[in-house]
Amino acid sequence: MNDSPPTPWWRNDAVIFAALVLIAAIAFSATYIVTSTYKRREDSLARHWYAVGDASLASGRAKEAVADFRTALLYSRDNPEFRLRLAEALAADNDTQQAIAYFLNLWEEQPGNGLYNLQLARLYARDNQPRKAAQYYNAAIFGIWPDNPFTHRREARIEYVKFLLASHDNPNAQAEALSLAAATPASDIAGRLEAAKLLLTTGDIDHALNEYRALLKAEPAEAAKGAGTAAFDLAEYRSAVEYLRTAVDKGVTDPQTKLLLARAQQVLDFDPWERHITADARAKRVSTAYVQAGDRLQQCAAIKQQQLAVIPPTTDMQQLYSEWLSTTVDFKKLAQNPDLRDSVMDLVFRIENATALQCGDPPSGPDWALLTLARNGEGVER
Amino acid sequence: MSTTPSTTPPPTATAAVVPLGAQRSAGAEERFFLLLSIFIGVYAGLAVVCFRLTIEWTRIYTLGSSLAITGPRLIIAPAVAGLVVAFLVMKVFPAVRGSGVNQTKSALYISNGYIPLRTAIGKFICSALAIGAGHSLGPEDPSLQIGATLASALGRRLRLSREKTRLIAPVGAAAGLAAAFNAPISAVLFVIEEVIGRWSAGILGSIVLAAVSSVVVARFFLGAEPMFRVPTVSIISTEELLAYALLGVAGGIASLIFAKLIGWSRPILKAMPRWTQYFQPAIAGAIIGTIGYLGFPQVMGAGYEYMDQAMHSQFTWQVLLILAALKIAATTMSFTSGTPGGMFAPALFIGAMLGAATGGIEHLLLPRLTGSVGTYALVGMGVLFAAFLRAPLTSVFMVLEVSGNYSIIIPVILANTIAYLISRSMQPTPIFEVLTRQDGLLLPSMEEQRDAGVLRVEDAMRPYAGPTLESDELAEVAAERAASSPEPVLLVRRGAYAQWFAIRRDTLRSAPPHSLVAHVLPEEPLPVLFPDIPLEAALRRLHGHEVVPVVNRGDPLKLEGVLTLELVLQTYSKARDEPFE
Repeated sequence: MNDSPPTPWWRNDAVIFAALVLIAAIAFSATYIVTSTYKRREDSLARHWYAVGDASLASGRAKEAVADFRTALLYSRDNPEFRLRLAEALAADNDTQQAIAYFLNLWEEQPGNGLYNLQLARLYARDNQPRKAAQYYNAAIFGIWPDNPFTHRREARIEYVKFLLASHDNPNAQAEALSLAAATPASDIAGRLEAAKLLLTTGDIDHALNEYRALLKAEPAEAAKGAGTAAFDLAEYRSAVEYLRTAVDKGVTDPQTKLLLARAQQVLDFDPWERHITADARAKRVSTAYVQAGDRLQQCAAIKQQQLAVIPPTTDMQQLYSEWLSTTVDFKKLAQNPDLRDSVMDLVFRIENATALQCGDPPSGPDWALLTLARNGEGVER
Repeated sequence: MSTTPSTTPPPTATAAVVPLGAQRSAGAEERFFLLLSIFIGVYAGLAVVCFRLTIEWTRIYTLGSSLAITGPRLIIAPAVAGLVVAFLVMKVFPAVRGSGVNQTKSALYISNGYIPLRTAIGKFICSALAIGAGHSLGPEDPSLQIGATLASALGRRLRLSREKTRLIAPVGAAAGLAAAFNAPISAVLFVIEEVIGRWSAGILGSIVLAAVSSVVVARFFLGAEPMFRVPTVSIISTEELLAYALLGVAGGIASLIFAKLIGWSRPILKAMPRWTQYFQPAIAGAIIGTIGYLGFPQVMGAGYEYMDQAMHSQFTWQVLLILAALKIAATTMSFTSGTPGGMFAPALFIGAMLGAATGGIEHLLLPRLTGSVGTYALVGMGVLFAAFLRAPLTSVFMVLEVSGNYSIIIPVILANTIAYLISRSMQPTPIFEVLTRQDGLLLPSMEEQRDAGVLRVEDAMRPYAGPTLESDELAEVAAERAASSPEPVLLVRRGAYAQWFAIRRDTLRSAPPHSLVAHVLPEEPLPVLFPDIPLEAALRRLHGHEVVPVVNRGDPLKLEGVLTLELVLQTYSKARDEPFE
């Protein structure tokens, strides 16, 4: 028989646990309300500081933007957009190391993200780490871009080509530019023009000329301008003149095109071997070149304070001057005798080359045209 | 101020009530206690969530919502908060001074688990105000005390047995700490290492349940992300471990300076006239605010966001070293002025800065050798935790849990061990014990407990000099064999059951002729001991027996020696004269 008093109902285990559950539920609800209120406040503060950071960054106050984005992240700790903006602000503030650290954190979460890879590539490029920059540029080119992937990849590749050019890595730049041209659809005229321009810049002039030629119908002015430039670089002055003139006719007005056209025309004007001109005209060009070469020789000697009329001649310039004096330029003979024209022009070219060596390349004018002819063999059209 | 008066239970607290536990069997109470632990975890988790949010609200309203705090509020906010906190501590909540770890320990060892509920309320308000307004203290130790107090209050309300009421405070402490750190394993280990001091199966289950349930609650409200986002960690080469060893040395020295500074300055401030204690937290706050105003606001508050920044190489090594030094000074001022708040976060902050600085310097000197600065910062946190708080095991798991990164276990163990050994050899008394002694309490030192050698049966037993008699031999023969034995009590072996009996020679002689020894044996066999049993446990089995056989575990019929009460006492006496190192 049990003499102990009966346990009150409220001391029963089941009742106790029911009470504990009830208290927990009430406390949980109260905490939920408190937390929700705080989270709303946090969200509002995060948005506020993000907007402030954006404004700071837009107005060029990168340091302030960094602090603002950090504050925004305090209230929205893992927000990838905030983290990205903070990293961009750090980069804008020239805090390369910290920006790299932040982008690497983002990158670790999404190693294939095109934007993160591109930003890292830029930062490493800025930090003089070309190998890492190239690695991230490549990752950006083949990375994941949520919207407009083709455009972003193309832009990343263009930027990479420019980076390679700045790093004097022309072979890789040419390869990337060629890949860019190959990957650009035929219908993307602007893209193809950009690719052709890059090919030209990287020194792959043949491919550049081909690209421009292919675009002549679609975009006559820009393509003709590019093709003219490429032809000029390839010393195809007649083609250059044709393309550049077309460009000018189609409305291209930039001074560089006009200058190239003038120069190409000048080279053609001095070329005694140009097709479809009379023998008299050839003789006249040889005669003009002869006089021009003599003047150039004397001007250069004056600059170098060198006597030319010395017997016997001891220097190259004295030797050339002696030859120049002893050469008889008879207009009739020149018109009749192609060999004489060639021998006079040979002397002219030797004088232009020697004076360029002594006094530097002439920047423009007839001597520049003659030197160009000299360097491209015996005339551009032969 | 001593914590004793406030933690002593009121005389009516347990009197005149039948403990609820008394109504249940032992097994039922165990089950009830386990279930109760889950509720303790939930309550503690909810309380800690609210505590953390209150700190954040306070920070926003006192220092402003920007991370880049500027202007005079940097000085005014902590100073005014210091004044308010001092008034509350002096007039309303005198038991809330300090970090909370020692108060929980004293509840366990001095006041049978009693912590007044008022302490939790006071700790909540005062710590939130102080930390939120910029005092250089952390929320973890207060969370631990809040959890312990809630558990203690619940235990009293449910009128648990005395034993369970005592143990319930550490259960709540583990729950509170787990929620604060978002790290259940570390919380369990810390409470075992620092509060209870021993592994006990009875309490371990409850602590684990409470810690896990509190973390689940905290994660529900605050998110499950680890406290720190650590960059990918990889050890570049084994030589890099040397760098971590150096970090261990630096951390050991830094923790030593930190502990010495607190141990030296606290009694000085406490000894000052009582009226000055109203102003000490305010002055400390003003000085810390001035440090912030002069360009180092990172030392204000708990500083977790700055630890994160240090891990991401956002400070130069020079700035990191300055921050570590300033944090030591700021925390010392806040803590010794009597402002309630914890030392976990400051220790982690100092460790993170020191670690990142060491990483930065080593990067500079040996760029080929060293890995990411974030790794060093993380290891540095563990180093300070091990060396300053003297919780080496917790420190390892804490680093792993707060980072969610298990790849750095080897550097963590290496650096922590070195720092712990340096700190221990240069300051034998751990900081928590220094503080309790300054408060006039004599709580058990967990480190000493861990180090204390255990006396075992093999240390006290002696060889048995008499013949081992068999129960199935003739009593006359046995008496003859034992005639010349120096042992007053003879041991008899009953092989079939592997039992041992004690019998006096006289009893043997008085046996009827031709009877077996078995006929004169007592009914109850002797308890048996094994050489590896702790002497404390053996002592209980000796009760009522003149001699107890010590047998081999592999062969219970093989006698290794005997143990007597006298031998035990002699061994204890000898151990007292030659204490264990």
